[in-house]
Amino acid sequence: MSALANLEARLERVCGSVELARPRFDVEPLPLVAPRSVEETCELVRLAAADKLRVMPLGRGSKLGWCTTPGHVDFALSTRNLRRIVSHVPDDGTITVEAGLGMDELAARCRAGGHFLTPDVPLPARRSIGGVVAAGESGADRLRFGPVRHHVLGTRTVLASGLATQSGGQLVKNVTGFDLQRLYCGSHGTLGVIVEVSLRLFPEPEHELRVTTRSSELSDALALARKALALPARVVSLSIERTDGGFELAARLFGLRTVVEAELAALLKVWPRGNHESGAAARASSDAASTRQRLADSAHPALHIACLPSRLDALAPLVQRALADARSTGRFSLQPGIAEFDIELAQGFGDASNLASFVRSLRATLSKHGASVALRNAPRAALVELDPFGDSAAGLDLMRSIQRNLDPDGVFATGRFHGGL
Amino acid sequence: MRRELIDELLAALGPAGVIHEPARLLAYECDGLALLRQRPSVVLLPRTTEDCARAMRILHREKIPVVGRGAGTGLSGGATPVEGGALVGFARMRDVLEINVADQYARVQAGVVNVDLTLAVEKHGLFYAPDPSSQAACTIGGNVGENSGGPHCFKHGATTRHILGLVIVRDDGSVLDLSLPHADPLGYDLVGLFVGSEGMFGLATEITVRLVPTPAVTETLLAIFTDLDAACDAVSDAIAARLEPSALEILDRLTIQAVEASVFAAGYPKEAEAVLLVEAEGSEIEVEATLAPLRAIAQKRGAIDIRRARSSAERKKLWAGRKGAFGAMGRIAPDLYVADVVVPRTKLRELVAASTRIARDKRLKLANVFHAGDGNLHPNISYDRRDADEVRRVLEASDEIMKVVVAAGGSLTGEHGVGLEKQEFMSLVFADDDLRAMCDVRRAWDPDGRLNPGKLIPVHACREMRGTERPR
Repeated sequence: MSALANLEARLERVCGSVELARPRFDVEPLPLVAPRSVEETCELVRLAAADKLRVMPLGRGSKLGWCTTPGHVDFALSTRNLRRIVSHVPDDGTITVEAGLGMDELAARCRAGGHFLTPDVPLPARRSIGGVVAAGESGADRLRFGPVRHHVLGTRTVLASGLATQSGGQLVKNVTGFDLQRLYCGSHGTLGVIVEVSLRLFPEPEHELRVTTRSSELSDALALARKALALPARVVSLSIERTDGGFELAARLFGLRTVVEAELAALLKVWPRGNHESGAAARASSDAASTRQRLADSAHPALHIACLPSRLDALAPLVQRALADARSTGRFSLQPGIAEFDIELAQGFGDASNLASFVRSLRATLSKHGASVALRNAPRAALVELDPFGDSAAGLDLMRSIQRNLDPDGVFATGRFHGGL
Repeated sequence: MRRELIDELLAALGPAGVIHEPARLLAYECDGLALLRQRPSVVLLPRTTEDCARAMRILHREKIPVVGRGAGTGLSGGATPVEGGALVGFARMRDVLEINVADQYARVQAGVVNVDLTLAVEKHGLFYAPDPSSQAACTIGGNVGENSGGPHCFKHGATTRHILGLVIVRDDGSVLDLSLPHADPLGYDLVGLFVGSEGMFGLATEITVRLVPTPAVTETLLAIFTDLDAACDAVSDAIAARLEPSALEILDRLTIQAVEASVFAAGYPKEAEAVLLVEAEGSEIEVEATLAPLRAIAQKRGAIDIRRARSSAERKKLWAGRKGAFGAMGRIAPDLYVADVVVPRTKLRELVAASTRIARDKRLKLANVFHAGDGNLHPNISYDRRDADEVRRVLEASDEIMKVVVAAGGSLTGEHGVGLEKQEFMSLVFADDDLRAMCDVRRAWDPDGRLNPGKLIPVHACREMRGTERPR
């Protein structure tokens, strides 16, 4: 029996089935297991630790393109079969679920309890809550609700020891112990396997509107965005997207009906040519029209740029010029309220080294404005000397020390995250 | 402490930066948890991050344990000194370094007093949201250490949601600059991890905080109840109705009487069994849309009167009563034990009642004043620390309250931290493996375990750290 077949047989004994999969487009097929319980997850990690095997944790694999291709991996461990609702207390506004639950199913469950789930991520059916938390993926709704890490009340995480450990809890306020859930959130599975997540929920809106307007120039679109953001309105999300004839702005309003109607009236005063849709139609067209949604579905390399809002006016033309110089015609989405760009690099790059040079040059230009530039879905060849998350972070040695202390034998595949973590 | 070491510290920080005379050290032997006292060997008061780093390098070389201290208002013994150790205070680091109005953040030194930050930015139409009751004294650095809360954290979230960046002096005196306010961390979220670490990861010397626009309209209601249970039920109903005011606070009869007899008198009716203080903010329409159903809920639950603050002055007075409540309780007995637990918001009534029952059974005076909207109870027990038997009963009552709360799905602390007070109760909430992970992470920050040793983590949980947890 070959070593691979032997490993598959042993994994199969723990969790019933093993498949050969390519969780990322540029890795060789490898065994992928999807344990059916937290106990099976622990057992699989213990098996890896005992045999000095390397595990790559993942949810549904939708954000592996954000990371570097891992060095050596013996098997991938997906949480997609961990889908139980552990505890849902609608009248307390909290829910605890297993990590593999799809964002669509979770949102539906929350809605049935009278709550709205944040983050409102693109392609929720292809994302699990564990994957979203592990990647620290916030939605466009962070303008109103803040980043996802603010809403994670606690996690249960299987560490390299093969033990499931608790951090935080299920309460909306709690300072008992170190907030290790903040460490796991956004760590891309390099410290452990998140198996349960507790979240704070927000009231389901009574009324919802999507308001749109257009502009031919990006600078005009930014001016319109500024006017919307200066209103005494709690805009949920605000986007500028490049379309064939210019730029479309879309603002999402929701909450109590009387409040939303008043906010709409105020917004239409500064967006005199604005149109709006309400209710389910607003939601549906918001999802369908979103460039973020389409970008999330794209296999092309993409940029995620973030800066301080006050730098947007200076930064936007630089980004535009760089894309024009590179003859890139990909999709372009800007969230001016949170100062984030998502840009698809569909064309204009002959090979991986051109792409790497372009990103390096853009980082050098934009870093003068305090911006960060992440490269997603990059081919392996482009990442030989380029960290997809950004240039070296302060505290990297400390991060490595944390990783070493939690996983001294390197059970979880390293080298995928920033700085080789 | 050896004279030559004192001289070296004096040379590093100047005479205003070093306190070593025994009489002057007395003032630092406890924080707000006066039951636990220990005189430090020396108190260091750096003026800048560089000062702090210089001092920490000396202490590192000498293997001297270090306890950080903001204003000493903490209530869990987090700033209780360690025998033979140094205390680093931030009373001389009170500069607001930068106010960025466009991007709504400020950069401050750790010793800036919480309320002073809001006073510094309010002319720009901004405020700093976390508002502990001690905000007139407590510091932003102390708030970071404890992940402090406050009444308005119901809407705005506790300190951790408002910290964008930090400059940290590490155990060895190196400086970790995480002060750039990025939307998301690059690599692991060290800032988020640090907040609430109770001085065991490093000393935050400069802090970048998020500021919040001042709302157009703020309205405050006072609902008056003849029954504490009914006030609790009104809050549970408001949460269940998905309402989003900015604060929901309850004060019980004993608290009301203490406040009304004090300089904080707010006009709370002394005959009431409880009052519910409600605040809503936003646009005029939003405030009205929030308060109308809240008023209806309070009435349904038997509120005998609902008063609306008619002016800003009246609103401030109502809040001064709430925030002065702990101080006012000095009228009941010389000492006050401020408990701090969190309960699911569906169980407010039963756990407030359980706390009251426990205190009554121990013949203790218990006054409730708490952040009801967050389920964060403060069963406050008045006592006289000169009465050893009463002290024993206070501690027993506190233990029982924690056990009852944890058994009902609650937690040990919502905003005061674990410190020394609740260290041994951590095992009620966390398994040894959970605590071991905390130790592993702590060891990365502070390999020798010299920073605030012997706090938060029960010693048995960190066998490998046992030798360093309580240095002598």
